[in-house]
Amino acid sequence: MHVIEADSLSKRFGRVVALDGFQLSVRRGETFGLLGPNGSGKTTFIRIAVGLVIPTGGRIAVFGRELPAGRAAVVPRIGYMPQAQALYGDLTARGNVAFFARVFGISDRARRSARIDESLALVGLEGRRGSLARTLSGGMRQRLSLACALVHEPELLLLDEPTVGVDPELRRGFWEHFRRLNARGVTIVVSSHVMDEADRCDRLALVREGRVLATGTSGELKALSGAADLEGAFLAMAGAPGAAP
Amino acid sequence: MSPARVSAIALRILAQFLHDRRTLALMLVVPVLVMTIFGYVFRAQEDGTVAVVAANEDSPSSGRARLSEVMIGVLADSGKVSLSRAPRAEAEEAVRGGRAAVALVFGPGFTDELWTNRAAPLTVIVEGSNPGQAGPALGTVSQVLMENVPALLKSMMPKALSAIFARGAPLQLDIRRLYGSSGFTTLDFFAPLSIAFLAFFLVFLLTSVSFLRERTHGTMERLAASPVTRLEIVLGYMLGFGLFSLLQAVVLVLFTVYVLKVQFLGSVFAVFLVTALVALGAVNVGIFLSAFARNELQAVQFIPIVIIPQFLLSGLFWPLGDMPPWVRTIARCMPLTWANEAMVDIMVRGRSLGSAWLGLAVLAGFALLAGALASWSIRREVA
Repeated sequence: MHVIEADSLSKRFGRVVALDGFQLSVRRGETFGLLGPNGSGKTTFIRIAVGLVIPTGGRIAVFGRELPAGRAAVVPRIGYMPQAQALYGDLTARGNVAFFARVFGISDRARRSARIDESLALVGLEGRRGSLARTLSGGMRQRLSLACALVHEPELLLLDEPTVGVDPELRRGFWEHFRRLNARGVTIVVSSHVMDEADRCDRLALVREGRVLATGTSGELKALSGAADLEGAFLAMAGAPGAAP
Repeated sequence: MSPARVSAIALRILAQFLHDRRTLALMLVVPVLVMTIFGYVFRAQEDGTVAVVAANEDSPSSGRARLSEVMIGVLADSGKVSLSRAPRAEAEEAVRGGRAAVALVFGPGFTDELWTNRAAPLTVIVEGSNPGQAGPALGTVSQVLMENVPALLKSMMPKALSAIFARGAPLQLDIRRLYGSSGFTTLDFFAPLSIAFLAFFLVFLLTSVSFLRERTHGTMERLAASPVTRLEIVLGYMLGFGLFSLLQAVVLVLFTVYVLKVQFLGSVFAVFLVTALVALGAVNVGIFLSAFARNELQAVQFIPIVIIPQFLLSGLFWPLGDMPPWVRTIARCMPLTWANEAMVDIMVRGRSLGSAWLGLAVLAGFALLAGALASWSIRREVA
């Protein structure tokens, strides 16, 4: 069963076309990468999938429910990490996670406390739980932002460029977090413009100018384009739009 | 020092202004707007007439002309006073209701006392809750009387008497204040108004900036991608800032009453209730207007538009009764006008919450309306 199914999705902002016949499906339990340059439509797609943006045309269903109509049923099952860190600087690390735990309706105090501690531990911030978010380093804030998206045990994680501005060592740490979540059955959709991250995904979509050029495993995409690496595959397919399978 | 670098910075600032039309408008249009209101407020105050209501109970012995009528006539013809007449009780009611600034009550023996060379009884009734208002009104009335009455009476009375008048009218003035005592100062009037004003101003500022941060820092986006509804966000902000401003009101009221020793007649609870309603309106105005600002600078720019007109027109400087009708209509649309009236009613006039119900209802209605606008301004579809 597909967690996300997008069918000829389009979105215009005034005269700017952000998505144009965007075609995609994400399977349950996989780590799915959206790969493409800045401005290719990755963020718009993620925001549509979490109900923040209403598409101009086409269909999108998440957990089998059409958006935007099914938004209320879908949103509690999604964890969304926006591109901006989106934290309250004047709250502690724990305070930030606790706020989103309440917002997502974890009302039982013991369970909430356990969930907060678990989320902070998962991103390795248990030692900084009492620190104000604004005093944390950039990488720590990024991890805290992930913890906020995890606290309500979402079945689907939408991560918009989670590793942007993160050094290589931390980035590896992030992918370990993702793998751990994935092992628990969480479906992950992660956008990136860094090609070497793509190899870590189960499947990939190459996105350019609001369209999906191709989907498949990294091996399939390389084979399809005849390129040695993903960057080459991307360039080969970007040169021939419409050649997507 | 390099002139080139200085001019580079200066030119950059000018270029930024040109790209920020709103700031440009603020710099050029708002001062004119504010000065217009200022000019209107103060010019109208100077040109305005004092509403005086006269109650004449003077009944002289047979044959004598009523000297009180001479004085009333002088006032009526002066052009500085708009005079009406009423019996004593109604005259007092007119002052209480703000329809007249001064009531003059000429006692039954007014003429006779003057004829017999004694001080004549004249009761002057002022509202008293605003010392800044009663003083100028009394000044105008006594100036008109002193300038004209002696000369007029001279022609009507024996020489011996007119000599007395030359030294000043021998009036036995009894000045009565309906509210406040003679020790009542401008501070006693301003303190209640300041509580409402500070609550509105600070809560508006705090909300608009913190809500703007919520939008620009992305936390709003995160909330929008959660089960939270717009109404829940607005109610949460109202509750949070409402409690915060109550705390502020507690500190402010205690300080005003016990440190500044400002007169306080009504119930503390009533003052907190008015403050809370003012704060709830301010929260929602803050949320609503923050939707029209892209950064903190633009949010702060709403201060001269939201705060200054209310500061000038809510009765602090210019009594509502003296305003031209169209200005009064504008003032009536401002929550602070109603808050100020309720505050003065409670703190200075010692009225109960029940008698201030209209003001409270208007404040509650304003908070609701602003809440609806605030809720509407938080759009799900951020793009």
